[in-house]
Amino acid sequence: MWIALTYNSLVSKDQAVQSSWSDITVEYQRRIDLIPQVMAAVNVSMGFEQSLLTNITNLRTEWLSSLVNSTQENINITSQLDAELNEFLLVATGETYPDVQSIEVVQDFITVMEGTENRIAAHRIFYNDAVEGYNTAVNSFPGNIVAGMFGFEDAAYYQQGT
Amino acid sequence: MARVLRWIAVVAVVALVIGAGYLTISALFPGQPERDPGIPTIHPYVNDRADALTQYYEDWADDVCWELDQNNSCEVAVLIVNNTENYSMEYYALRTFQYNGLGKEGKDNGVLILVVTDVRSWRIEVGYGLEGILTDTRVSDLAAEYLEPYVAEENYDEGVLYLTAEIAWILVTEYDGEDAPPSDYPISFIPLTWIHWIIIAAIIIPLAIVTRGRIFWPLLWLISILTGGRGSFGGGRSGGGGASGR
Repeated sequence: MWIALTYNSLVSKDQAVQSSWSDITVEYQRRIDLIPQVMAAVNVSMGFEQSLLTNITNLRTEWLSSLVNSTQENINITSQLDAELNEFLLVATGETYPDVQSIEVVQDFITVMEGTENRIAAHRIFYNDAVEGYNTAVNSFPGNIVAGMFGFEDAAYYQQGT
Repeated sequence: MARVLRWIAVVAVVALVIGAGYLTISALFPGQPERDPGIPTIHPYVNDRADALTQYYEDWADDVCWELDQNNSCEVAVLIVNNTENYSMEYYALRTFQYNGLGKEGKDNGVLILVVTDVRSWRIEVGYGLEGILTDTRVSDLAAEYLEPYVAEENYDEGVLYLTAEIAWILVTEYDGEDAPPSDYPISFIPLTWIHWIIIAAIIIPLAIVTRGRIFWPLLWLISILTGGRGSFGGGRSGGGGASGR
């Protein structure tokens, strides 16, 4: 009975880790989807450097295709995406084009973009909480006996931005 | 010799029972990750830890939140602090919301208004269930209109009251308080699933019969200690929704 209970507990914690990771990917998707919307709204696409947009597009494609790969790979790509999106945000928020910032829709965009960034940060925290709970269960006695029997391994923490 | 063997057998059986009990309890109640130090436990509804509010306004804002809770179960809490320890304001608000479980479980209809006096900043953390009404943009606009001008002048009384009242009004008029999805727990305030209850019953009932009921109350006490109590709020969750500013 103990083996069955511990196994179920490990499975449940593993699913919590997977679920937390999928929450992060949802927020990234939401963040990426905002870009074309605001570009259409303010019609400032000609102001953006083409290379920046190309990089974001490529990273988005890479990120979407990496979702089937390891979590660590996903984390690496999201780190690159963060850098590119932050650069985009700086441009869109008027660092390069101060006139753009006065447009109301851009102000809203800034708020929403900050909101998605904050949600991603929140879900990273929850993801790491889930990983901590799972790894503790996998490594501490007596759960580690069952974990070893059924091949449960440590999950990766999301180090970036924490 | 026979007596010694009998004692060894008894000790072995007792050790086996204790060991099996330990394994079962460790599987039923796995340890929880430690909480961050310095994140406050708050009570419904207004928590002024910076002595920024006069009693009159604090009570008024508290009444507004209480009325709202009675009206449609939304839980709005106010927390005023001098600083956020060594945490970012966003992290402090998120953890405070999470540890105190603002909003009802399953509805996630809580709101935390955090004001940090040392830096005259604010953060409004919105529960999952209210993100459709209190969008990031709307929350930002509300704070810009009802809180920021007053906080800038250190007039926390009016800022907190006006913002709280406006959020309460929006929630009274726009939140329909849909029924929460069914809880995973048959007794909602005790975090044990059906399988847990069945196992506990399978242990308690035979023991109660053997001990003629004497084991029942100590075991019940042990379970209540292990499961712990919930805070005064309803166990809601947030995921970083809301806005912040100064």
